[in-house]
Amino acid sequence: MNLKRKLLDVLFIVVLGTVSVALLMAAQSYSAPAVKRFREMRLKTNVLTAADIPWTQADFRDVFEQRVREETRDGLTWYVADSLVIHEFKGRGLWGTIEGIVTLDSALNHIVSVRILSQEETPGLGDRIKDAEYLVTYRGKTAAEPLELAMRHKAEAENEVDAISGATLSSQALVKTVSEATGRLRAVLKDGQW
Amino acid sequence: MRSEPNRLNLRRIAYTRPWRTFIAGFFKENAVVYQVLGLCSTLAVSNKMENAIAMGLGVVFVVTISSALIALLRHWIPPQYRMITYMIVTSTFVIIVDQFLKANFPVISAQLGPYVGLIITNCIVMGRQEAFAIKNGAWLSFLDGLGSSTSYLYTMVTLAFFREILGFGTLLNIRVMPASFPPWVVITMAQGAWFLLAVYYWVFRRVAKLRPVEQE
Repeated sequence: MNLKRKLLDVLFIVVLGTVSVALLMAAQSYSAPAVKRFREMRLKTNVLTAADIPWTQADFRDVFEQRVREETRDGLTWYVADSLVIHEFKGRGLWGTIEGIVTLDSALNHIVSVRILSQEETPGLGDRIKDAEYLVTYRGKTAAEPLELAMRHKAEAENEVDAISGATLSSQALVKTVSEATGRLRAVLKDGQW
Repeated sequence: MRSEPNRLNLRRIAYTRPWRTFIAGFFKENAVVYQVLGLCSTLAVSNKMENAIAMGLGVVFVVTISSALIALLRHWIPPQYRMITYMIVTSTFVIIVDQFLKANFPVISAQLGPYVGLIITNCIVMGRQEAFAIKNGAWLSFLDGLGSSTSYLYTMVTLAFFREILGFGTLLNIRVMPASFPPWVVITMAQGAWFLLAVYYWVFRRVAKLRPVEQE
């Protein structure tokens, strides 16, 4: 009797779980194409903005096609637009993945800009890494060596970036991810041959 | 003396159980004001009207559907696995809402960030399931969930109305304040929302006091 009751309980949870998984898979397959389209749009419009090329919601695909060159070597992809080299990066943040793009000058020596495409850091604290006011501090920093976080002083050296108070780990994660991305790009594009 | 039939009907509806179930959550026991639930997302994403509407409708969908479903299943739910059942049912619907927003409103979805997923932990959801749906029929549970969650929705929208005007000078992203109006940056942040929420509490409790709903 007791055993039967327990088996029924287990059966209930299993059936509920199966129905739930089926529903989630249906939802996933419904949203997948739209999500893919959105990610493509997000990347292209951000690359165009990073290269200072004007675009509108209607024509960004054509503008991208005309003005941006996509290149791949050794499994690494980068974009060239108006003699700027743009590379997409992805790394672990404090809670989730940080995705973004980093733009380097034509000699691959300095960072022109960093843009965040998506992040899941703590709202109100770590998510300030996506703010333009913070990202502008990356401008002009070196791409030739790993960047470091300036924690107890103002970042002045070329390889230092300011930390955000209350969000040290998120700033650290971004600095590490950006450094890795620039390092990777420079390793593949030795002596600036792109 | 003959009274108008319409009025008579309306008055009768006001005494029925379904109506009282709905109005209790909707007004008298407003989830945010009286039960003080769901505050985290209320403060965080009521900064703009579009966010508040999307989030509020998401909560309405999740609460009503999951409450009704729990009520339908209530005789089969093993008592010791109640919480697991609530979590499975709730998270399934929350993820569906999340996927729907991602597919159709990607910009709003990005602005809401983790808060859509956090509807799973919104106490209004599990609160209504444990306090009401597990003991009542599906229709009543649906109305109970509808009342509680729409109280969350209109609270969000009311706060967002003032926060967007004061904080951004816009309403549904359309400029309503003159360009010279200085935006109150503090009101767009969660901390600033506290001030507005306190005013809202005060007004709401005054209004509720003036027009009390019948005692149970």
